[in-house]
Amino acid sequence: MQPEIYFRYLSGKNPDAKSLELYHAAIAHHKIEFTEKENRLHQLSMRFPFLISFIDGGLALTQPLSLYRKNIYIILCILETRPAFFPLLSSSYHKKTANGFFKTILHGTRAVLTGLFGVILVKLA
Amino acid sequence: MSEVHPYIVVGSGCTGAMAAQTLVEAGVKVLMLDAGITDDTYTKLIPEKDFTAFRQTDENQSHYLLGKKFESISWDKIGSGSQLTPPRKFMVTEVEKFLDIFSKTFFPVESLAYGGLGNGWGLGSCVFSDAELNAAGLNPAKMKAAYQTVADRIGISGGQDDIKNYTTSFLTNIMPPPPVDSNQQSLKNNYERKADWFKANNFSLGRTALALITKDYNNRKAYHPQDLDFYSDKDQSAYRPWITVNELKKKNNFTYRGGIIVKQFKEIENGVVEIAIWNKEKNEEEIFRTQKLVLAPGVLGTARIVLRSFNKENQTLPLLCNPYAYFPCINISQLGKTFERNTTGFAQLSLFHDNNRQGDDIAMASLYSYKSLMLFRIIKEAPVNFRDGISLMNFLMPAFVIMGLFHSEKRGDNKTLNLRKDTSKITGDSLQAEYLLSEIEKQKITKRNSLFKKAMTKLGAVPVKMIDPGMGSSIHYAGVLPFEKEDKSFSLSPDGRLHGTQNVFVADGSGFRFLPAKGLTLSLMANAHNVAHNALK
Repeated sequence: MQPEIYFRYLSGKNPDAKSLELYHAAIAHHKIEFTEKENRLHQLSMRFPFLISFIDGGLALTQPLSLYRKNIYIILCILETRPAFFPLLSSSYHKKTANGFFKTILHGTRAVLTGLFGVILVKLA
Repeated sequence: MSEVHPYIVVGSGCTGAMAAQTLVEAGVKVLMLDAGITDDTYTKLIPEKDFTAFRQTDENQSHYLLGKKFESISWDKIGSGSQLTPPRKFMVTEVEKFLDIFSKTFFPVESLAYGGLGNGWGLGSCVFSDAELNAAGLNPAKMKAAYQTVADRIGISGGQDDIKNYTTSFLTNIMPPPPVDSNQQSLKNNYERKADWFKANNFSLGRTALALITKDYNNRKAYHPQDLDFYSDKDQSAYRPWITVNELKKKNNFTYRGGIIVKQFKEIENGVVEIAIWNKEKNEEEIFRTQKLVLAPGVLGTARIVLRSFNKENQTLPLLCNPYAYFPCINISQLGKTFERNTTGFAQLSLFHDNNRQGDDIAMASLYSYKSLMLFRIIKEAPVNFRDGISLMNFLMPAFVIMGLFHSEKRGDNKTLNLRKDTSKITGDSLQAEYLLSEIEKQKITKRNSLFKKAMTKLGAVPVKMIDPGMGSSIHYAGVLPFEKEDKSFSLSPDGRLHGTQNVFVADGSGFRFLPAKGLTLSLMANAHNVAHNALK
């Protein structure tokens, strides 16, 4: 499944050994078998990692429970329980930025546009 | 002939524990039969630190935050019980095996745990009004006395404010509520500022009454918030029924037997009740005999046992369950703020809508701040890619208010249960349930939901979504053997005795003919105390 690429997509960092170990253990319990289309999207993601956010966003709007997204969700869950990634997933605990509002608007706008482009991409794939 | 026990209580949940305590305090000998599943995996793993502290340091936190089998990673549609954290999942262990239920319209949560569903009780404590008690078939004078007895046993905290009449009302010895966080304080401030609107629209807001002690009480420690309310009960400040059962185990006139599934009973000569059980550990059937049987395995469990006992395969029983949905809301004034450390995960405020100010048509919402249930659960609900979801939810989370909204419930033609033979199941049968609201009921709920959404917006928290986990998710079940004055099969006499028997009493909510839209557990416990008291006669 090459999870490293999805870890980098979510966190911008390579996963540590423990995170990968947890991922493989989680996948053993939550068996993920991609459909043909999901497999095509996965292969596309491997070749062009910058497309992951579009595919993820497009599926969030059209097939929010697709297994492609479940795979990324499992990684998100693992990241949230790793102390090394605590700052990434807990900025609401300890940081109060003056430009937080504008950053959120930016992320929100980006999320919407990414999703809309993603819908087209997912349909074409 | 085996020993005839004076009293047998079935179940260790809130009602079984209260009934047993009443009997034990009266000096009679009590045997409690219980499945008694405990958590021997997670509780010991949780560090002696607050939630924020161990999140930054503990390399093994995934074990208790996600589960050793990653059972907290739930991907399908949200359903009843899907939000249970790994340390609470033992509540539903072996339920599918022994408590099979088939339904396309009703999705209940049941438990075989030591302490039953009480392990996951949100602690909301309300007394019913006289109108509500009468509609439920309960005696107001007797219930008022029982409420006080139970409140004194378990310890309740709450506010002296606009909702006191709906929560603790006439109860005395109520402790002060735990601190309120700034998120919910801002709602409270808006309520006070817009008091005229809320009054004109029959809404009242105040501090939630909780079975949570804020002062040391009965060898239990006062509550100190650590954001661990969904994970640990180490200080025993939150009332859980196992606390009572643990205390009863110290008494000479109380015996506890775990590992037992009660199948059915029959009355034999001299009113002695013979109980057939399945011993899970020995994997064999056993028989117990008692002079008086007090059933408290939970409403659906009671339905199974009673239907098997009378061998009525086609008998249909009525069923009641509060309709429930929850609404994530954004408190605009809290956007971009930081979390306060060590707040509470329990409901802090309750919003009541008393339609005609007569106390007979009430809906109740509990308001929670969202923190220790983790970011991933809520990111999943956002219709955006996960990477941007992380940034957005980090910003929004301190502003989240989750409104859990309960509606009252009356009986109806399409709210029923029956038991069907099924040889593929270990018990040889399966409960079948149908739960359909009428169009009029649905319209009433939709209208009430809109009113609450408007009220939340007035409080400054804008609802962004409604999540309807389906009928059964309120975990408030009742009414399968409704109270009847006349001797009618499959009903209870007003004192809790099962009609058609001499010595079988039902101490859970099976007799309630109506479910008010309020925290139910305090009323269940008060009724259990009364039923046990009646069984002593």
